[in-house]
Amino acid sequence: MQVNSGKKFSRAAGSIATYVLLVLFAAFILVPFAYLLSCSFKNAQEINLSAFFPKHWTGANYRAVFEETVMLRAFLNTFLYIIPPVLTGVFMSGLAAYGFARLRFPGSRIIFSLMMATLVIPNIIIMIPAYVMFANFYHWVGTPLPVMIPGMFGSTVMMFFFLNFLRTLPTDYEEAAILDGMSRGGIYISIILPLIKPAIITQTLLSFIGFYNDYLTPLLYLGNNEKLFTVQLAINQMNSAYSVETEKLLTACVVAMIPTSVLFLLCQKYLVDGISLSGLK
Amino acid sequence: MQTERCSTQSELMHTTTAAPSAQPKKKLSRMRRSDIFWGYLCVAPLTIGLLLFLAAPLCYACYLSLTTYDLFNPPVFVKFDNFIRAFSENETQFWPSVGNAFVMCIGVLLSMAISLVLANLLSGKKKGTNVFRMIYFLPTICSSVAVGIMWKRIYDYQYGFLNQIIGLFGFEKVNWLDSAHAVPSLIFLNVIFGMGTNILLYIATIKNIPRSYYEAAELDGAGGLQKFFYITLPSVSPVSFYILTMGVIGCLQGFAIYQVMTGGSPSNTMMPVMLIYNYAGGNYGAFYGYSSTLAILLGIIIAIVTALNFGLSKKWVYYES
Repeated sequence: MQVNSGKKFSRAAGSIATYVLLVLFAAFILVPFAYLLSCSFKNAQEINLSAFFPKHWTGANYRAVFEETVMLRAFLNTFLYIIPPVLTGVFMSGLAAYGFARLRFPGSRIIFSLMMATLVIPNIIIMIPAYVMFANFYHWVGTPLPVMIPGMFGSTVMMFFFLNFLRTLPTDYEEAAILDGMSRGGIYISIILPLIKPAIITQTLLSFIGFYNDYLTPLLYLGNNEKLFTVQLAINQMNSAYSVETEKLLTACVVAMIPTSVLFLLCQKYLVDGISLSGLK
Repeated sequence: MQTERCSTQSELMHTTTAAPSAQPKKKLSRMRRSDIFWGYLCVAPLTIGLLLFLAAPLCYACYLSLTTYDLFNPPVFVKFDNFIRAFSENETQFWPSVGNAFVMCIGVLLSMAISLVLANLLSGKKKGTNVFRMIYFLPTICSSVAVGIMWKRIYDYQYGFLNQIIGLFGFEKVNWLDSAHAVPSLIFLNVIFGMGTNILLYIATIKNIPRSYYEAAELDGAGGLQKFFYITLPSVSPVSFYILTMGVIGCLQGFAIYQVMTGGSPSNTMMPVMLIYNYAGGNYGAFYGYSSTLAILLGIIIAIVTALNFGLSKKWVYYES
């Protein structure tokens, strides 16, 4: 009897300890975000006071961010820059995955191995010479093209993700379509793409978030021209300005986080499943 | 059964040439040829992209590293001068910055440990696990620039949130981003805001560990800690290896968060990529040749560390069967 209640007690204690630990780490994450959000509603007089919540809540910062800074334009720019590479990149990566998974052609193994080998090349080596090439050979510096074009060809990581997904799928539909005389291109568009839809959604989201949050690439290519700024460049400019208006800067940060947060809340299942899967391969 | 059927079917699909001989041979060879055509067409875009934007810059990097180049005048070939300079006494910043990056890698280890503990707690059937999982993942999708600005404000000496809190308990203000505190401050931020993906990976792996292992251990009288150390820890070791390898590669190339929060001052927060950026049109001017040299050196260091990781992994990573 006594043993039993002791066990119960230790189990309850363990459970409480578990929640305490979980809540503690959740607080490390949520309190900063809450602080940021609360600051975005403070006015210039209150921003440096120690109260967590503002005495007088104001939405003026949000208005100021959109009216006084390049933020609105930066948003439009960002979406304009990243939606084409995200969509075509996903399409092209899936196409390559389909080629490797279902079609036999001479040299496919070698091409595939070489592609996988590129994964070990650190990004940093490419960065500077790519910049020089874009500047001197393509004359693309100062335009958004270097931010957009490379992504449009797809990526090896994405291709590999689709390949692993495709390999788990049966080929019944495709066979039937071949008998019906459908071309390989038609099969990719009307059969493969719908079949790998969950993987497509995951990679589209990850790719969007990655492009949206990228800072170094736009900084290199667009860093001098305010009209071409992306969201990340816009908030960084506010951060490094001579006189920083803290309340507006923090509000801009909140605004910059909104698109990816909304996507995350709407599609967290796809993101979570996708990441859980990708790491296991 | 299922897999068998799939494999025979895919065999069929692949070897259209060896299909039943009842059909006319000409048509089959035409299909085979169309397969080859479509095969190349399918992988062409990605291949071209990698050639143009990866292979070409890679070769160009090797050339640039042997020149001095300011983007306007033609590159001057200087043989190995850049490399000699990088290893000489004149280079006072690069090697310390590489050292800084390695110090920051402590964060990768801490993040692994904390993620594993939290994932272990979350993989049971407890209430609210989904909510916690979401919260831990949230920072992963936020931009490092915004997160950096947010934490810069929190760590701020005069008005920062952290100093306001410790002020409530009667402690003196701390300069969280000075040379004495910046490294732990940044590591803390990296750990807390970088563990979302790790936790997801660990949860997915822990859920795949067969229940029977734990049941057998319980029959032998193993406690919770023993089960964790003798079953969970070895079972997740492939994922730990993945996280460690990718984490170190990412950490050595860290940029945005450091650039936003400290800009490289104090000097123990100067990261190699910041330096490379500074030499390539950043604060130090236009030295594209030297910048490429440093980038290649950093790339070689990353390759060596990754190779070491793989070599050591044989000692502690357990793969099933």
